[in-house]
Amino acid sequence: MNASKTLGKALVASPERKLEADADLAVVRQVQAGDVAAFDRLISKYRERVLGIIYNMTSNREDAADLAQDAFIKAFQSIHRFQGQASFFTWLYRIAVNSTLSHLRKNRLRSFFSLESIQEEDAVSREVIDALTDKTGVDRDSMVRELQEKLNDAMQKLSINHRTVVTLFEIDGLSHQEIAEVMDCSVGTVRSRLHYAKQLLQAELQPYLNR
Amino acid sequence: MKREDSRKITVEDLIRLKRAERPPAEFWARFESEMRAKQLSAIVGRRTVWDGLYGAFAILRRSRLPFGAAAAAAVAWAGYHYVGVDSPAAVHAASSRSLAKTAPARLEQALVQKPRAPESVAARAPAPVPSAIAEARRDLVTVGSVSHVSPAPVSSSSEAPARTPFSDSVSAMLADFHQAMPDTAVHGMFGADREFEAAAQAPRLSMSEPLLHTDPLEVRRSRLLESALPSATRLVAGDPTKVHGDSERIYESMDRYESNERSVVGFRF
Repeated sequence: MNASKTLGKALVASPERKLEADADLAVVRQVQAGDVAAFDRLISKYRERVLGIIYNMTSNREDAADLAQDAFIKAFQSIHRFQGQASFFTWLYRIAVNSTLSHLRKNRLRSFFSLESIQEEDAVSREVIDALTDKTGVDRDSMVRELQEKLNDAMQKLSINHRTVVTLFEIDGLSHQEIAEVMDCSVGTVRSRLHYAKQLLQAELQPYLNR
Repeated sequence: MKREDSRKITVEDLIRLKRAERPPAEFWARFESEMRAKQLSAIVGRRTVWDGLYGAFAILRRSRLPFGAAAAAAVAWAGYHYVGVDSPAAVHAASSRSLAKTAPARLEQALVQKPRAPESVAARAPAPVPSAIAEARRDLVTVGSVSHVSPAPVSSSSEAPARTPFSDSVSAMLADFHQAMPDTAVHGMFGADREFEAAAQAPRLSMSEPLLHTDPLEVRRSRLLESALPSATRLVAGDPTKVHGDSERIYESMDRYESNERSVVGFRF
């Protein structure tokens, strides 16, 4: 029962998402009507999420900033082609993910990682960090830095598609259906990629699990 | 200790840590400014295609003198390449070739009309004109026999290859085509067919060619003699050794004529 509920939640967009999509569509219509300034609202609303996706895919802040800006510019330039069949954020994510994928394919051999500071306002994150610090007895900052590096390494060992699925599902909280729309693949493919990616990450991050 | 037992760290927990990774506030300020700059450049960038075209035209406009000179040189080269002929023999060959191509009726009309234009010249020099026409007609007959319309030359008809019905029909078709073709269709660009030049050159050539073989002094003398002594014209032109003695006689006769005129005039008044 629980499993079916989870699956349903993952497949079907939530009512909040639907409301959000309707609000976005209204703003998009304004932009299409010539109110260019209205696009700033969309940028302000989605810039952190878009940057977060790209950063977690590239593990590089500067690249992520450039790619996020390019994604917004592309969206702005082609907003007159947006028909409203999908939600705006799905459309924007698709642009961002495709730009990032092509960037990663072009610069496959380049790997300059940068680390962002973890904001511990998130209760779950603070709890995890506390647990790890208590267990290891290591300095908190050092432990967080080490964990970040390990996470980046583990993510970069995944293939581009697996990394994208993990980022969209685990970090950004998109449903399977939404990920399938963004990545232009089937829901089954999304699920299998997610399962495989988690297995690889579990193997890589084993020292930090179940301590 | 209780918390350690209750909290088991999973892969999802670790991955979720990345969700909490956020850039500092100053990063967003820079992001905003860069974003604005890119947005503006994207808006302006839409015009760059037109700007590129406009720039290309501006370059052309700025350097129109060199481009014009180059175009003029190209036209001149093309004209020389297609029209240019070096020697009189080549001129004659080209005109012969083109004479064969043009319709005989048109050429004859051009030959007849050309000398009529300067009326006084025609009155003063009636002799060379019919000879030019006759020569042009001779040329026409000769050239027409060696043209591509009728491939077998008159002079070497016995050596010509055997003509087939197919070649005859092709020749007939070509002849019909050239007869029916209007002047504008015949003339290629830069006179590629050389028919325009040939049409213009043919009367000129036939006019000038007889003069090349004629002594101007002789012509002048015969013109003077014609009015006074019609029979002397043939005599002078035929025998150059008699020129000196004959001229004395001519002057004497002219004097007589003039004195007669004067006497006549004297009687009248």
